[in-house]
Amino acid sequence: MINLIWFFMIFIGIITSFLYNPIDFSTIIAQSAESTVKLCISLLGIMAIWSGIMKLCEKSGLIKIFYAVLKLPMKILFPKLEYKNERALYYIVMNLASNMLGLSNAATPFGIKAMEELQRINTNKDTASDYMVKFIIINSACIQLIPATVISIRANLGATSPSSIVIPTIITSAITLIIALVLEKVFRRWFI
Amino acid sequence: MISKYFIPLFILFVLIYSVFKGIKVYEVFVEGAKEGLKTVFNIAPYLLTMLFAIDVFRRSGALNGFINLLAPVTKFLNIPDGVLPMILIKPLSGSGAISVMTDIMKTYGVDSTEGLIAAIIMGSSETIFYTISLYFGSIGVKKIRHALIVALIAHFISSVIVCNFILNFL
Repeated sequence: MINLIWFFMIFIGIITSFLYNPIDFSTIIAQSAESTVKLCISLLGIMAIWSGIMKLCEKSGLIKIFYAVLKLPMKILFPKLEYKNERALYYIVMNLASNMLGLSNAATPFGIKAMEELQRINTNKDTASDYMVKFIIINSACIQLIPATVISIRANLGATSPSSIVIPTIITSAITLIIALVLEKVFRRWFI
Repeated sequence: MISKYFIPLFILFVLIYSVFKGIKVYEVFVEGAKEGLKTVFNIAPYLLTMLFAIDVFRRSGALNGFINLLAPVTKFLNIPDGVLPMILIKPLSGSGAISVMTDIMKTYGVDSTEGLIAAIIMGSSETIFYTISLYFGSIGVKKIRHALIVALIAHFISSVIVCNFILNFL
């Protein structure tokens, strides 16, 4: 998918420029490459610092507090899962807790484990269960407490208050999550 | 306003908690910083590749043509022209979305309406296609039912809500 999009962006771009708007490609290549390298160099510093803070969350067990907080809502969102496969619920909660803290490296293994556990109690092995669909949907809304990359880039580009987007981002994620959960209930009957 | 205190308080809380738990804060921090550097090295080639395509697409005038084509829809939904590429790319590619967001911030200004909307969309939804292919792929499930369609519709609706909210209240 992304391959096609990338190809067509350049293909259409070059064709358009031939037809309407001849541009100097060597300049574009040079400028594009240079600005990306500058961006990456300043990202190196800020990302390193945020990752350091997140590592402390992981190692200190702070993530377990999030586990405790998240466990109850997850029990409600995944009814009866606790009795069918408790490990699945554990991995789901750990995945979401890691995602909330922006620990995507930690989140992915938990997510895959959660899917494996859900697959164990899945009656039809090549079709997604209701639990799986719900887990993916909650995961897609991805409530992130500190969007470190966005803050870093905003700081790098000279925003007046780089972290001012934190609260709006959390609210937006929550809205996305609610919409997704409602839609899931509606669509469920059409996709059996 | 709240955000201004949120970050320092969060950092303070993490540090105090870690010290309280007997964590070697300095060493663990360094360990995390190493991972952060690796992350940037990992995404750098993707950024370079995607920003190049975006530059070609935008500076040739193709992007403007595309935006004009979709103008009736975006006008109806109150989506600013500049933000449209962000809404379209976010579900497909995380690194692509970072590139588009950076591009929007550079073009319109980091604190502009467009810049703010792009930042919020970036942080508030996941790379849906990646998540779905990774998680369902890992267990060999082929029929994903309504997972993709629901995630995508929710992403579009909430993006439209963000645009309208920022446009009306800022």
